[in-house]
Amino acid sequence: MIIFDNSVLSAFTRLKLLPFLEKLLKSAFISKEILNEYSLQWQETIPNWIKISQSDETIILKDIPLSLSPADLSIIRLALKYDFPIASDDSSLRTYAEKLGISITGSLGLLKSLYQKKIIETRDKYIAILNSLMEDVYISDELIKWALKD
Amino acid sequence: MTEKISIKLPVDLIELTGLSFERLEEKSLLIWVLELYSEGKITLSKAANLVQMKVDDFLSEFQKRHLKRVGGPKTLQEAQKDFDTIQSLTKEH
Repeated sequence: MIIFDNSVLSAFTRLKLLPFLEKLLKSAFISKEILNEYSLQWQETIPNWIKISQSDETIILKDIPLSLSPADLSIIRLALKYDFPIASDDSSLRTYAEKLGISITGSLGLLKSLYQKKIIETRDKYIAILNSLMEDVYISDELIKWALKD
Repeated sequence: MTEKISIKLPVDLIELTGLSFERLEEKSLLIWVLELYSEGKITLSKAANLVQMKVDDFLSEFQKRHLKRVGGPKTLQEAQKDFDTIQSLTKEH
């Protein structure tokens, strides 16, 4: 099981790859707080394999960076409670989660997994998706080479 | 509620943009927040919170300006670790 933050959820929605992620992951979580940050129209597009969970406010977090929101903290609490990894492309969330011992992944790792498991069927399609991801995220040449390596 | 500060802007901006004081204040804040988000200094959620927008509306503002953001793994080691997390999660599938 895995928990999505806003950045990964939004990226895969934009790339129209949520059905691909379902094939890879079977199910995933977001928090109620994450869901509530989207418009109602957008909320209706969330597929039912992505479950909504209430975070546990009794989990006390220390040294919280100003760069994080209450919704970010809600998924940190979910990850700590259930020992699930978080999928995020937000640097400050990734750093804070790692400091707390939470496993992390992101859009690039998910895309490479989709390609290696042949859920993204062709290399051309994979390259087109990487290009689309790069329309709003900086990805270094070194990381692109890594992503394309079999 | 976040504590507020005041900043000064050239009065010419009112005429040049055609915006009211209130809209100019909102737009200035949005530009700052878009920059912070683009630099990877705040999360998407924090950015949307700061400008009191829904996340999907904030992303529309970001994308319509053709901006790019810093995010995801920074090094090969970090990228490999991200990939390994998925591999261990999906190995039983």
